[in-house]
Amino acid sequence: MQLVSMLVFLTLSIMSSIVMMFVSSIFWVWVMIDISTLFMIPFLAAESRPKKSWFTGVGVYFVVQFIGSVSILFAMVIDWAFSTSVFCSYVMCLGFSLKLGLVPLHFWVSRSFAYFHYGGIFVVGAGQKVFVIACVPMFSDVPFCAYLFYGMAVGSMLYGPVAMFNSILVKSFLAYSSVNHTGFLVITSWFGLHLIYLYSFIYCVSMMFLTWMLWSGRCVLMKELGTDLPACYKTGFIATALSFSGFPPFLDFCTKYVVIQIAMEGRAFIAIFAVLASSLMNLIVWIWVTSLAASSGMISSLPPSSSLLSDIFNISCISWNLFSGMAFGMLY
Amino acid sequence: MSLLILMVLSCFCVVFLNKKDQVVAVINCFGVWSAFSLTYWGGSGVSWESLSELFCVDIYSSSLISLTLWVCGISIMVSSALVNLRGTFNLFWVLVTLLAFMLVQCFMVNTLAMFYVLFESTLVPMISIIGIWGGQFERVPSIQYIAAYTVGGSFPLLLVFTAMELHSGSSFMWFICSKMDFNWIFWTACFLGFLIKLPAYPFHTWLPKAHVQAPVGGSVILAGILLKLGGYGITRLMMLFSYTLESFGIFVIVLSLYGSVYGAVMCIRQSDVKKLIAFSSVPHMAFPVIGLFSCTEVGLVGAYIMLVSHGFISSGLFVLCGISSELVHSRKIKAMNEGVRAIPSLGFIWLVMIMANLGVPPCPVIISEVLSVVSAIALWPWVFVPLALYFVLSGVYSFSLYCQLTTSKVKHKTEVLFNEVTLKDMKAMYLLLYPLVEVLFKWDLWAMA
Repeated sequence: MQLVSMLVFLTLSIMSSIVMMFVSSIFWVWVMIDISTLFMIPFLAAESRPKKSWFTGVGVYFVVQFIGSVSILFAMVIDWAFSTSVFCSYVMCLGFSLKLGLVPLHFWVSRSFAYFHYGGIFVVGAGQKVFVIACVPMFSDVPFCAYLFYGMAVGSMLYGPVAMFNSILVKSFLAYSSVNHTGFLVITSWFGLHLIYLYSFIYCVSMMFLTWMLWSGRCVLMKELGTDLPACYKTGFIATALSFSGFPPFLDFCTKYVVIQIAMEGRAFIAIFAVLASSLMNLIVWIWVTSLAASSGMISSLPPSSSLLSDIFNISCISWNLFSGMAFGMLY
Repeated sequence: MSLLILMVLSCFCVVFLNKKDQVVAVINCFGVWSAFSLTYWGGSGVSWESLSELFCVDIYSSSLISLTLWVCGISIMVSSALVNLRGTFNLFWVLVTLLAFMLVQCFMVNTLAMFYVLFESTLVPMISIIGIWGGQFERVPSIQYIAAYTVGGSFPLLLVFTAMELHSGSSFMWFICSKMDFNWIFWTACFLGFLIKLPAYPFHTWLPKAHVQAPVGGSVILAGILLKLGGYGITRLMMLFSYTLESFGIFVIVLSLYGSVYGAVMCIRQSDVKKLIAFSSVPHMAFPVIGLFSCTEVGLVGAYIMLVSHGFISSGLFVLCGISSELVHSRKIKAMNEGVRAIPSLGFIWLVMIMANLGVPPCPVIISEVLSVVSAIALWPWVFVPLALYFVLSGVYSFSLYCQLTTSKVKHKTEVLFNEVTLKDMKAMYLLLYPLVEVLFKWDLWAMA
């Protein structure tokens, strides 16, 4: 029953987000974002074995999203009342940055994620962000806001991997990974929304594989990843980690290469620097994660066998990370 | 393409054998592939294999393709004879075969973009080999070093070929020579990744860490062929961009001259044999750097003789180090001394390999050193001074190593793991020494007609 209710609320949240993509007024965008967030709360709060700490994560998430929404609403009211004021752009920029969790307004991400279930981490960390980013205005009237917003995105891309490297908990690690990828999505939005949608789809599928594997092993601490991760998923996890490291010909390299290519066309050198520097740091972090995941016992067969479904899942994960990059490159 | 198809089909057939026969079958496959790759050697100009949209092969590619297949086969042969490979050995030969497949493609592709992708992709099997079969916990930092240096160093190259594709629509690198005046930032972007890969001084610090942590088979491949990717990349980029390279080239040559002396001094200080052999690669790879960046044909020939010869010699040294360390379960020279004295034939093989490493005739390394010295002196005669210093220091560490391995004041019989070295153990050594004879008699292969 709880699973059904989780699915219902999740569906309502997704529906609100989809409706938001089709409205033209910023006011209705705000309304749909808030409705989506409100429906997300019961989904995030649901646990099969509720702990007394569940409200901590969801509470922090709700308060922060609420403050962000209030900021956006305040900015809209100011803009409606005083159409020549630039103050509204600053407040709106602050509101969206807080909702997205861009550096330095990322403090809530790790605190929330630490108490979410893995489904919540996937939805909030991967799925929800794309809808919010898609409705961020261009700030063309106040260029400083645009520079500030993208500067925060660059900061997120550079800070995220450093924080990932210092994570003790798996959920904190995923939180900072989400901060890093949010920065990358925002940078990508500079070059076109279609690229965001494509990359978001790719990121969501990769995160779906990752969170499923971590959930199935009930992974808590990073140092125990090797023992907690199920043996049947180790090769898939390693394939995902190598992809996130940025090694060609894996998927993440291909997506970042497309962004670099477009950035070079547009002579966006800061974006190029941010992507490359972030990739280098991600490389070091994910190699560390790969070594942790592979640390307990050797892989005795390739692939390790378990149930048919887990084998199919594992092989799908490896195929997705290995071959989708080439498909993406050809499509794009 | 025909070689790649042959490799894929052969591997497909091997999969159906039982696990014990698969290892022997794969080793034999590498032999067949090496023999087939010799048909690509056609002297100057492009090979018959270049009748393809994707590939273009000349003598520089084909010599390295043959080296790749030979060394990878030796790596599997050596690893199958050692007992310290834990886990499944089948995974090892799968990874080595995959690595060989990528390397062969890397040496054949005709666009910079594909070359870059394959150049980076070869890291994945290599770090997997080090990660799975590496000796100690420090293998994780060593993997981070090798990955960060290689990937980080080649990011500028990524931007170079992306810019090429944006401006000219393609990163095709054959039969094109740009006559533009480029600045040092551009040259650094082009060559940094390859100089790190070689490794040229001062970007060499990842190499000793990687070699020490890698298993014997991994070290054989790393020293035998992966380092040569750097030299090959420099050659291909110089085909495209070499106009006004001279000033940057002189700077790189100066660094390499210092690096050769530095590397020799570091070798003298080592007590770990594997680290000593790793450090000896630094001055050896300085010669291809000097030869290539002198922008002379003599230098180019000298560079390739060294690249190919070093591939066999360095691999042979690591094989020998692996056999000796298996005897006494240690890589320290003092511990190996006891094993080598227990088996005199091993001492003889060490002498042969050390002499080959030193460049004593008739080893083709001497030809490479002479040609590189000639090309360097053509730039400035006093370059001979640091090179002479290097020759003296390389003699010092080589003889020091031999003396420490074979002589001792303590005259007691030591317990070792096995008391004789048979033909089966040494076949890898013979198969690495034989191609040096071929290189000696065909040293002018890389000279343009």
